[in-house]
Amino acid sequence: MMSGDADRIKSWERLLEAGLKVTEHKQDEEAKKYPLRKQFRPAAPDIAKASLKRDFEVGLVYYVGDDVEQDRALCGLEKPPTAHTFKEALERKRKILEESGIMKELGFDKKKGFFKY
Amino acid sequence: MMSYIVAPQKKLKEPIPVPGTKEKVTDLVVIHDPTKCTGCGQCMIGCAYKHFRTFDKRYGLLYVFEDPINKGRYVNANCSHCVFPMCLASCPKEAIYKDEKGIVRISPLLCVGCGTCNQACPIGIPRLDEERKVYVKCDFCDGDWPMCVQMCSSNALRLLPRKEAFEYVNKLRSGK
Amino acid sequence: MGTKASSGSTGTKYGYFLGCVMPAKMPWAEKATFLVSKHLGLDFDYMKESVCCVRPGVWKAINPDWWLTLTSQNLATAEKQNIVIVDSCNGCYISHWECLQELKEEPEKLEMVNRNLEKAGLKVTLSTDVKHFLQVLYEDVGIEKIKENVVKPLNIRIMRHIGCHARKHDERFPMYFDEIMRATGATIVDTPYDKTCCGLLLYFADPKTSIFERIGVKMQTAKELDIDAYALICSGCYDQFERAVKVYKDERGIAFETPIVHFSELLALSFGYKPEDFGMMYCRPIPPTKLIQKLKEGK
Ligand code: SF4
Ligand code: SF4
Ligand code: SF4
Repeated sequence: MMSGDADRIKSWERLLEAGLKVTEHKQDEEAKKYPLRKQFRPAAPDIAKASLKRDFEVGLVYYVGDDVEQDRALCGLEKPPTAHTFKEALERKRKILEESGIMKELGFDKKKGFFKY
Repeated sequence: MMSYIVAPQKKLKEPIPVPGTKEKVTDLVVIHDPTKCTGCGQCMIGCAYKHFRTFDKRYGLLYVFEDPINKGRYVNANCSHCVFPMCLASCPKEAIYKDEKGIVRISPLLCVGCGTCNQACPIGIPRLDEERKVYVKCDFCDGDWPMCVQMCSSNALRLLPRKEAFEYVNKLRSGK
Repeated sequence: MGTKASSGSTGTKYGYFLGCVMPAKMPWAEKATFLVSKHLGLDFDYMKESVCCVRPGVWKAINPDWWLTLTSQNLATAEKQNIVIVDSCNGCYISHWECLQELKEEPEKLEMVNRNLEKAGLKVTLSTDVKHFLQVLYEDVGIEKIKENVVKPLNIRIMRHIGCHARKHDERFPMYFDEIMRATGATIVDTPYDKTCCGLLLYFADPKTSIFERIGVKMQTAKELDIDAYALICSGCYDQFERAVKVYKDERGIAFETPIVHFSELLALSFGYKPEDFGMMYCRPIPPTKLIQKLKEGK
């Protein structure tokens, strides 16, 4: 099914890139800089970071923007009554994340929207 | 109705003695039902994350792969912390031991990475850890509720007492 | 009268949990689900203020305690609204259901969760219930009533993908799915890959296996058998199907033609609704033009 150099899955690589982009200390770069240091693996794997970030910022993994709203209107629907609409729910979620120490252990900086490592 | 809650024992208890010997084995064992497995790979990912903090399933300490003969069926190999472990018997450095909980472990301090245990184990469970150059194998999640069982999406992996597990596997075999 | 939303009793207030994928990617399924449940006379509404169910595949691996904490936010919200959570995504269902079971079994965990939720002004008392949409249809409504409502039997051949988590209990949910699909008049084609996972979680770990050896073989089989539609119920699975179809199309130049449809769409069609009623032809990677054509010609 797969052939030659068509072995790469670009959308997956894009996802990984997105994860690396929101990381402050990138492990592979650090490893090149300090080859004798033992590599350490962050609690949030790079590949999952993009979706984790969206989860923290939107409350759900997918964003509902204007284009999606249009599609929904075509199907006869309004804005979904999830955390997209009810910002209080998102606030509550953030508070839980913050207070239970999850954000800290994952190294997520809420203000900058960055993973520390 | 909720049939799988009937397995309430989530942690290892006292290891059970093997009659006629001084050996002791874990009272629980993980078994896999290929008729239920969907090949989702969550077990391997859970294990890989728990032990190596990565989602790369190649780091997992149990292995699920597609049956080469029956397509669409998935088979698995996971350590059963044997009564008489071949891996333990074969190790030239005596790096493999059975601890007080009955878990068969490899000591990373003694292991020289020769790979004999992999050859000796009937299902080739111990694998090379590329980073530390020692062999690693399932440690039964230290006697906790095994991650692979927690993660299994279709209840194909089960945690059963040894005797029941044996009967269950026999039933599975005769069913086919 | 009690706060306990007992299962199966008439007058149960259902709160439909949308999840992440459905509102963003499958509005047609959302609409169809509501058409069907209203048609069957259920007290069915959205569950409001819901947040992500927290993908058990990711969060349980990272830390089971965090998963419990985050999932119980939804449970607490549902308790406040006095509803029974209904999920049609298997992932959401199993996340909520297992969380509820675990909190019921282990009081220390319940205490831990409540300690964390307290700061956000929430509390779990375990008075709610979690149900799968299949369960609501089959156990609470009943197959007889569904059969009575089928006015336009579908004369199509479908393959189905029920999903891993729906197999967690026993063979109950797959059986419900098949029976309800047969009630719509559709013929189910069995293939060896029916049970195979969609590869959603594997996508993070091993994208090639996840796309080519999971969805790839499924869609290939569908193509070879020339079926009319691929029916599924789980939004998580749909996400992966859509992703795989896009990868095949954009990166490999292979276009699959079997439309991927949601279970409720077929149900709605058999209840006499028209494809336009729930926007069946919009926002899909594979438009179901042929299927709609066939259904029109059929009657
Ligand atoms: S590694 Fe193999 S031989 Fe050793 S205890 Fe496990 S299954 Fe038995
Ligand atoms: S019991 Fe634990 S260590 Fe062993 S295979 Fe399962 S998750 Fe890995
Ligand atoms: S998690 Fe369960 S269903 Fe998935 S591959 Fe592992 S054993 Fe099979």
